Order: sequence, then structure tokens, then C-alpha cells
Amino acid sequence: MNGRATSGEPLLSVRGLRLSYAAERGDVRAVDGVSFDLQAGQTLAIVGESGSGKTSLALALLRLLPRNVALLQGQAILNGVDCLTLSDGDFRDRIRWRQISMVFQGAAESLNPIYKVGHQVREVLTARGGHSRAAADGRAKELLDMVRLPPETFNRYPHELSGGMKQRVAVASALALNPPLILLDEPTSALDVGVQAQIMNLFKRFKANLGVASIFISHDIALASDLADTIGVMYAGRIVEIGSTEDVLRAPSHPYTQKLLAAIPRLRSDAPLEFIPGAPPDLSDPPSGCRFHPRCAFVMERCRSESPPDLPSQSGSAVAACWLLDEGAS
Amino acid sequence: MALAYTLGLRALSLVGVLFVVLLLVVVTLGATGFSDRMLTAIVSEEMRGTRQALAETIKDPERLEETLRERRAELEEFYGLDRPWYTRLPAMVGRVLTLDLGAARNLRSFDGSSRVTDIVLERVPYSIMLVTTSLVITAVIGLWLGAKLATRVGTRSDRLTSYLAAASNALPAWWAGILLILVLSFQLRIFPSGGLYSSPPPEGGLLRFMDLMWHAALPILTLVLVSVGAWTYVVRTMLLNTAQEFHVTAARARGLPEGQVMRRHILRVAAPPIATNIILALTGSIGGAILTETVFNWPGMGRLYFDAITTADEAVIVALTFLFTLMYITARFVLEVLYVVLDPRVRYTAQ
Repeated sequence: MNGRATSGEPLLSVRGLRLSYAAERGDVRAVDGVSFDLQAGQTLAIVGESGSGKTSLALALLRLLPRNVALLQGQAILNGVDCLTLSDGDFRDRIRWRQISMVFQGAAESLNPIYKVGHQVREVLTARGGHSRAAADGRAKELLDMVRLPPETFNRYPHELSGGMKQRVAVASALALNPPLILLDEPTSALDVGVQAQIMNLFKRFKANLGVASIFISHDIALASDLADTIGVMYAGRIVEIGSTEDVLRAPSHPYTQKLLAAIPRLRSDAPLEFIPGAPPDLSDPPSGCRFHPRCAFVMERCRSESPPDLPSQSGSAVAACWLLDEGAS
Repeated sequence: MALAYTLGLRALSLVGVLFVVLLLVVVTLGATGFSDRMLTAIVSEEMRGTRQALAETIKDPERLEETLRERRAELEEFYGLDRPWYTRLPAMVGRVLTLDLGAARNLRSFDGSSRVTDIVLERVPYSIMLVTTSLVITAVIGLWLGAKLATRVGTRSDRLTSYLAAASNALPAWWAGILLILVLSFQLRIFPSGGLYSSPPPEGGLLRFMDLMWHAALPILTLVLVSVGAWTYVVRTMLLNTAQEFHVTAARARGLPEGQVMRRHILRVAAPPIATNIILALTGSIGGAILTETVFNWPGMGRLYFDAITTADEAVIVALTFLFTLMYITARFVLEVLYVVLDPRVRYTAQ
């Protein structure tokens, strides 16, 4: 793939990304200083509760923002180009769908109800890929085959397909222009478990065979760990812990990550499932200091006033924004 | 062939609508006594003339009364007053259903024919010229402006147009018409105040046509003025509803050009309800516009209906109601078929 980063240099480098929406009760800080690197061909999972800013992060990267955006700053450097400073036209021509594509949460709603599935996959190929109609038809059929849909799907309307099939069509469309990066925003949340597993296997295959990097957004840390090389845990607009999947799962450092993992049901365990007391904070008026402190079992005086920096965890690769990690050092 | 079956079923139910409407007309005219009262008045009117005429020739008062009684009985039989309304009016409906519109009692065509078919055929072109023309103008402006506004919701031009749209919708047609006559006809003398032609009408086909158009300008302006606001607003709202559907965001996410998003993902998806509006309005326009045609003294279908009611011309009332309903159900059926073509989600189940 031309333009793909060589190893060592990240494919995508996000630095200090901030995104606020204007609302009547004040600006809502959906994404509040997020930084991470993503290597080509790798998968980063962003996990967190609803309202933690995961989807806003993805929409900011694809610049699909609603009108009421009050603030968008930071950098998102993809192959050396800052996606956030490009003009709208340049971004659409060069980056959108060509470099970054997306599979949305509601696949059913992401298809136009009027046109046949094949025509919708073809549309992006003729409008963006410079394919002739015949060539686009061929490529669209190939893409449908890649996502394991039978050939006759080409001539079906969206309402004739099941939820899982529609999600496959959405994946086929996301792969159409061979982008190096795909954003997967809760791509399996609306599907039942069996279909979810099929779609996850599809993603794994593309990761292995096509070398597509992805950002997998989910509230399900167990599901995310199936695909991700790196996991970032998001809380109230910030990444509170990020590290290799193994490190984060095996030795979670941040109390929030620990709670998330403890909330996963386990087979034949007598221990009651844990839950996190309280509710996610109001992002128009977030708590002072560490944003998790009102719900944290280990809260200290310092947590209420000072926002913790990213500190290395014991496990090595991971970093977490928690004052507990500072205690050992001091 | 489930589709043909269901479409057939729809057609059948629409024919049912036709019967119900005609039944309602018959009951309204008959059960309220309106029909009997009006016919009795007509008979009495004629009897007054007959009495004067006969009094000249028949001097014997008893024979005169006798002849008049016979004459009245003849008239009552002629008008069907000897039978109750529920046998008289259905007979009229039955005849109309065979497309024999019958003869008008009072109304006449321009050259004096009393055949309802003649009268209607003479009036329809004038209504089309006025109402259909203004509808086409309104729809084109409404679609263009509505689509423009839907892409810039909340801007100043959007809010301003929304206020103007409400004002346009609130304008009564007769008032706007009179105002336009006052200003553009009496004050500025740009357009004539009513009628079809100048008197005397100019010679030559083209000149005559131009004269007709000149007379049509003010009523067309009136109709456009009072309906363009609602059209613009409805189109704007329909497009906006579609524009907020998620697949439009998904289309933009794919980086499709904005024009293509508008055409294929917004306009095309919103087409079925807009087509409904256009087709029903087109059909309705053939029925004329009662108030505007009256204000501008324009002999269209609306005026004909109005005249038929004021002169109690039952044959014309029943015939026009039949025609209007027939056009309506035809349009509805066209829409049923059109929906199958326009929206693949419309799948009929053969039950």
C-alpha cells in the first residue's frame, strides 16, 4: 500500500485532541486532551462507558462533526498529514474514506433504503475511486465476496437483509478504497452473539490478510481484547489507561479499568459481579482533579484537586493517569 | 403476482370511496330537504308564468285552476317531485356512473348547450390555465427554495423565509386577490381586474392568446402568493427529515460530493411524499379555485361548482362531485403504483 508508514513511525499520531459541543448548560467537553499512537496494521481498542467520548473521538478523526461544535483542537497526524488542519475540501478528497473509513454502530441506518446494496458499494467506487461503472461493479462484487456475502446480495435492497448482512455490507463499503485505517464504532453492538463472532472473525481476517489498521470502539472490554493489540480505557473524555492488551488485562493499574474488568461475568463463579457505584460525570461540569475520584474506592485528598498525569504502571508498557502509581515513586 | 392482486384490491377500495362520496351527496341533498325545497321553488316560479299566460286564453276560472293543477302535476313529474328523494336522486347517480352526465337545469354553456359534458369541457381548460399553471409555478419555486433552505437550517435566510412562508399561508386568497386588483389594476393599471378577454377581444390567434394570458396574470399571481409559502415549508421539512437520517451522514462520511448526497441520498429518498403532494395538487387544480375564480370573474370549474350550488342545479352538483371524486381516486391509484416504483420498501403482502 503506497503511503503507508514504515515500521517505527506511527500510522496515526493523535496529540492533545480536544472536542467540545456547545450546549445550553455550557460547553460539553466530550474529548478532553486525548493522545495516542497507532502503528500500521495494528488495532487500538478504545473502551469505556456510554458518554465517555469514544464515538466523538472517532467522529473528530473523520471530521464528521455536528454543527454545534464549540472547540476542536489538537493534532491527528496520519502519514505525516495533520487531518485537523486540512481544508474541508482537501480532507474530503485526500483523507476521507481513502485513508480513514468507518463502520458505524447502526449498520441498518447507514444504508440508503432506496438503492440496491451493490449500487451503494459501487457508488463510492465510481464517485471516489475513479472506477468505470463496469469496473466498479466487478470490484463491488469482489468486496461483497470478501465479507462472505453471497453474490446475489448485490441486487438486494437493504430491507431484504438481516442485521448481520447489513453490517457486512457496511464493512465491504469501508474496505472499498483500500484505506490503511478503519474506525469501527461499536460495529457489533446491535448484533446477537453468534453474528457478532462472525463479524469479529471478519475483522481479524482483514487485519491479518490486508494489514488494515483499526480503532475498535466498544463498551465491551472482553470483546475488544479479542482484536486489539493496544487497549485505551476512556473515562469522561480522557484516556485513563493505555497499554498493550496483555498488560492492561492482566495487571490493570487504574481503579476504573479494574472495575471494568471485574464487571465481566465469568463462568461458574460464585463471586457477585462488581459494578461501579455512581454515574458517569456531566461533561459540561466535570469533577475537579481526577475525573474518576467521586466514584473511586481509593480516593485520596490529592485526587480531588490535582489532575493526575500519565504515569508508568508496574506492568511495563502501560501508562495510567492515577495518583496511586505516584505513591510508589515518592 | 401478489403485487397485481394487492393493487387490484386497492383499486376496488377506491371505487368504494367513489360510491360512498356519491351516497353522501345524495343524502346531503335529499335528507336535508334541500332538493325538495329548491325544486318546489322552481316549479312555483314556472307556475307563476304559466298562470299569467293561461289567464289570457282560459276565461273560465274553474277550467283555469283545473289546467294549472294538471300543468303543476306535469312539472312535478318532470322534476321528479312526485317521487321521494331516495328514488329520484339515486337514479341520477346511476346515470352519472355510466358517464352520462345528463343535462343541467339552469346552467348553460357559452353557446347555450345544457349538456353537462359540454359545460364542463368548456370550463376545464380555463381552470387548467389558471390553477394548474399557478400550481406548477408554486411547486417549482417550492421545491427549489425548500431544497435550498433544508441545506441551511437555522441561518438568517432560513428563518426569514419561514416567517414569510407562514405569512403567505395565512393570506386568504380572496383578500390577496382584491388587494392585487386594487393596487395593480385600479391604481397602477398594469393588469385587468377580471374576465377572460378585453372587450372587444383582439383579432388573431396569437394576440388573443396574449390577451388571455394578460388577464390570467393577476389570478395566477394571487394563487402563487397564497400557496408558495406552505409548499416551500413542507418541502423544506420533508427534506430536512430525510437529511437527518443516518444514512445521509454515512454518505457524507464516504466523501461523496455534496451535490450527489443531495440528489441521491436526500431528494431521491424524500421523493415519494413529495410526489404525493404534487400529484394530489395537480389533480385538485383541475377542479379549479372557487374563491379566486369568483374574485377575478374567471369562468373555471370552481366557479361552475359555486354557481351549481347557488342555483341548486342538482344535475351539475352530482356530475361535478362524481368527476372530482373520479379524478381523486384515479390520482390515488396512480400514487399506489408510483410508490411501488419509487420505494422498494413498499412490499405488499398478498393476504
